[in-house]
Amino acid sequence: MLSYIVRRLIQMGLTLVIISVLSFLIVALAPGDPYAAQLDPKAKPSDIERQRDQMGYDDPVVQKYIKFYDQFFSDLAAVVTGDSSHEWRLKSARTKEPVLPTMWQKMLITLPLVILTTIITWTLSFPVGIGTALRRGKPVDRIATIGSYFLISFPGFWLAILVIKFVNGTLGIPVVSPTTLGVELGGPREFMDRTWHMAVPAFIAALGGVAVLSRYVKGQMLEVMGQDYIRTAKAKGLDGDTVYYRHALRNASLPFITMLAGLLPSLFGGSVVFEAIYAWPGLGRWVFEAVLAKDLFIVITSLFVGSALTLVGILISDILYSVADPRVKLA
Amino acid sequence: MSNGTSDRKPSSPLKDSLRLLFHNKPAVLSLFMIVLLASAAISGQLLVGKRPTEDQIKLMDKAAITGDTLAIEVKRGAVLDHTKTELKDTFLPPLSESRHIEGKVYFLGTDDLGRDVLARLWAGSTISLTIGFLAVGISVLLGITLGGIAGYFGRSRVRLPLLAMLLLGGGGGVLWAAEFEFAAIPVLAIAAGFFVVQAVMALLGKRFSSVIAFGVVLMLSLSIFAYNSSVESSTPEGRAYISASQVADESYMLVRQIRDLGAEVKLIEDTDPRAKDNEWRLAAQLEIENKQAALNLLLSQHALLVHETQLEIVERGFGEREERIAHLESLDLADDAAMEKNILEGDRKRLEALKAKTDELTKDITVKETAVTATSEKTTENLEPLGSNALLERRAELRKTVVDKFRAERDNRFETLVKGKNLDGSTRYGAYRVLRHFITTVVLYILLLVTALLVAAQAQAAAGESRNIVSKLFIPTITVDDLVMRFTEIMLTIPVLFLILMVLALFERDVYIVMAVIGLTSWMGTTRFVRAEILSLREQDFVQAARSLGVSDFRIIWRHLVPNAISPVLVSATIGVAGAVLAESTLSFLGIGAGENQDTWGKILADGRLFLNDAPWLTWIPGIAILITVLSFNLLGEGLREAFNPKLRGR
Repeated sequence: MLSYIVRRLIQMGLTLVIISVLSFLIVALAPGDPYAAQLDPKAKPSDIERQRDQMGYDDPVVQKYIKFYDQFFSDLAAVVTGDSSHEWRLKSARTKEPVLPTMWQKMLITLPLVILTTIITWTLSFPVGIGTALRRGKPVDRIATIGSYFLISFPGFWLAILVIKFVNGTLGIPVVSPTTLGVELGGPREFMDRTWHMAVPAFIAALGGVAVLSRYVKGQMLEVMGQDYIRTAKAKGLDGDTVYYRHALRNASLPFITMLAGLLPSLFGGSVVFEAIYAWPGLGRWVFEAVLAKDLFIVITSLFVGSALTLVGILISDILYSVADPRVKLA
Repeated sequence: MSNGTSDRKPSSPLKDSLRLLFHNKPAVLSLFMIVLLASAAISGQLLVGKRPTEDQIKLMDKAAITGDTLAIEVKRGAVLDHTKTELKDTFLPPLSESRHIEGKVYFLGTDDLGRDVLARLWAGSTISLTIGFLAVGISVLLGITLGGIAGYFGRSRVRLPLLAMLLLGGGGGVLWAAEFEFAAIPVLAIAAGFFVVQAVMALLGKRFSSVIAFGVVLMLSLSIFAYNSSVESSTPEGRAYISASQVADESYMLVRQIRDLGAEVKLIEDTDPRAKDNEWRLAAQLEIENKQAALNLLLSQHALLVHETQLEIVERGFGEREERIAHLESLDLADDAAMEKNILEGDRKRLEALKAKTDELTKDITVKETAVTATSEKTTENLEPLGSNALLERRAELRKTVVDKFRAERDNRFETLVKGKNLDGSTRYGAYRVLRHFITTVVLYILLLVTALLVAAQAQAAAGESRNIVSKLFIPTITVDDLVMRFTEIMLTIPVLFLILMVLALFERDVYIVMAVIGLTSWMGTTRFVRAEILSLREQDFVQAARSLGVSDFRIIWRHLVPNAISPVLVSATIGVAGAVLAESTLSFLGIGAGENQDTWGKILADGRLFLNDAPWLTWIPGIAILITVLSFNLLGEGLREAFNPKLRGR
């Protein structure tokens, strides 16, 4: 087990090196001058030259690459150790804000939304999936199937603006941005305000996930229920609930551990689309705005951190899977 | 399952699958919808393509002045043009009649600029569906190729030297093509050194064929390269380009040199302000002076070249404009013809003025030439050492006036390659010449690389044959399966959305770039299951039987493996189209997908978002169009999955 983890960590390191090179190469080989967008156009020419020197503008690509990741890792060490006296080195040239601490703050803003979305997705899809699997072919199943196809095919961004129109226009409850701006509310009303502002985007973002996940749960349940040991359990006279929930569900849930791998990067990225539409000032929107402003350091950093988190998530889910299913041996 | 088959006639699996598919009502309905959408997409492009020409518009305008307004309006309105803005029939709901043109009905209403929503939607269907199909096409092609290689040839081993050469040669070529010569040169040098070792090994192993092939390709490419550059330098445009890139390189090198000196000088000033003049510093400064003089000469020469180019462009334009005047006169458009004649006169005068400037430019060159000789005779003795600030300003000046300008000019060449524009903005032969140059260079480079790899392969084979234990130990190998699957895993790790965002941050808004990114980042699933499918198929009896009969690999793949492995690919491709259409519309909605003139459904929806209350149909119509398309592909994919599933077959 330990040697497996060590070997996987080495592989992950290599993968990350390749990803870092690829992401930097895309920047280096793109037409036009990505660094030029980061210069202050109002500055004196000699000051611009100084800015360029600080950026390492005229350095060869390899040197730029080394400098970038040197800054990145020294800042990362400071973020991880909580070193408050650290002078941030990796800064967005556009807003002059240090990239990694800002990223951490934005992540904290995105976190509640993503957690709520995940909770809604998982708590809705398991009952729906199990229920439709047990009532296969019945009207409930058909309605759920049709509904899930509609939800999968529905353009999420369109649904989002329709819901904004309905909740905001018809019900009169503002939902865009994390709180209602310009209004001082206190006590329970403020709590309700915040709840609405978070629940609506979380629910809309969860719908697509529910459609996909519930179908997956249903498929897993159906597959497990066709196994011999379920027939044996039924044959020896166990009641339905025991068979379905203690024997079938436990085994059907195993593959969902791999889905935990997807949670870690989603905590990081959240949903760019819904954050952009609902003006949620989280990480996704931050990266989106950086893209529009061609703020490359933020974009490369987020690509790198996102990939690293995905890798870690995959490793964790592999280990969890082997813990949960003794038949799986890590080698 | 088996008891039902006895009383039925035996039928082929394909017929069974089709029968199952056609019994699936949603799938049949989806198929019908997809055919409808596809025909809309094809016809949409044809209809939209028929925009009135410039001349037609001029004729219409003339008729409008004479009073035949209605006829002209109807004639214009009949042309399905999604870009046309009338600014009259704004915000008409679906099925309403035009307020101005009798009998014209807007079936899906009009938008804030008076554009017909049906026409926009129709035109948009072309782009949206093309994106879906092409993106999936790219991903399926990559997925099948890589998955097939990993599955069928997975056990064979690649020697790492071969791989290293492919990576070094290919990477160096890409760097060179992207004009990163300073990064490409070391990479290519390593690759070349590597190649020489391999070639010697092949020759020592008495394997000459590949070396000879390499030699032939090398000679061929050198001669074609020489021909290309001679064609290039035979026209003023080509010469102007070459000298522009020369100026760009030289001036950039000079800026870097000044920067390096400036950094050293700053260091001296910070530590010991009195240390004003040491010998090396003055020597470096003198070198910079010399280079500056050389650069000035180069600039003057370039100015003359550009001047000659302009002369030729103006002269070339005369003939064309005369033809145009004759054409306009034949159409009875006297006013327009007179306007063209005025322009022609202006051009004639410009030509005279330009010709007068030639002498001036030639004189300038001689002045610069004498300056070069003057600076080369200078010594360090009477040179005033420059401070770091002076150097900084000098660098800033040089960058602003020369480097930026000439790099832009050289990058225009990239535009020329991609968009087919000429130096004067026209799309005449110059662009084709550039394109040919580019293509021949790329093709020849790939040929060179392939033959170099053949040489390396023969060298490795020679080394493998020899009983020399050292040569065997020193050639590490990796299985093809490992190679492909590790790469697939890396691609699976990269968050696709961030990658798309990053690419979009770097390029101009263009929906086809979105398509390429979607296609290039979605093949991993296909690769994985094609590999698994082929791994299980190649061990089956019928494949083994074919192999024992001596059937070739190629025939086994095409006759036995592909038909059996294709059904899951078809299913995932169908569902993939749905995903690609949805992804494209989402990105276009966010304003980072479609470019300015690309009216995709997502963009139409984004445009209508502002009028959610006043004109809800502007969002509902494209929204429903996207929904129906995506739903159809999803349902058809599901129908295909059920139809191809052997467990359900024969029921």
